[in-house]
Amino acid sequence: MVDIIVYTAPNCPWCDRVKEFLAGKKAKFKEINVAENEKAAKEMMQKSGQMGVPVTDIGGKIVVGFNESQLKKLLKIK
Amino acid sequence: MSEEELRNKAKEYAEKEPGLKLNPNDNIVNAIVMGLARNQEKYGAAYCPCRPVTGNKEEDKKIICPCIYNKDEIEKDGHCHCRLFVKEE
Repeated sequence: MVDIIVYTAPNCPWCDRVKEFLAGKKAKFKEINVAENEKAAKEMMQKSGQMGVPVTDIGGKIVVGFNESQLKKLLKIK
Repeated sequence: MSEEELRNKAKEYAEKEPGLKLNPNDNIVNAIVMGLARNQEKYGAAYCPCRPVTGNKEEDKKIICPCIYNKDEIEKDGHCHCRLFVKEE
């Protein structure tokens, strides 16, 4: 199973959508609140080239925002 | 600022600025406005809910909605990162 990290911020509705989507697909993921973790915020910036959330890291492949088709593609699900 | 006031502020901005409009999807607007209201309550300013608040007041000024990134993002992607504003076709 590929490692999944979701970088989030509090009160972010698209972060909730990503988490709901992954949970609905029974995909295990680690959530990191970048508003409370400066190191992770820098890590997210390095990975995605921007500071908006959510950012989803699926085995090193990055999805910025809630992009269902991209998430499905990387998770290899329909 | 209440959700209604935040919604009106966003609407006024969208009407004033050329090349963009408020997202016609009310569900998206409502979700973002709710996030703005929660940030207003938590941090004292309507920071974009789709960007982390750093605690550095000067830095965080950049992400008070409408954030400084919105026009570039709308030009490039057709919408700002949180999708509150979209390109006016």
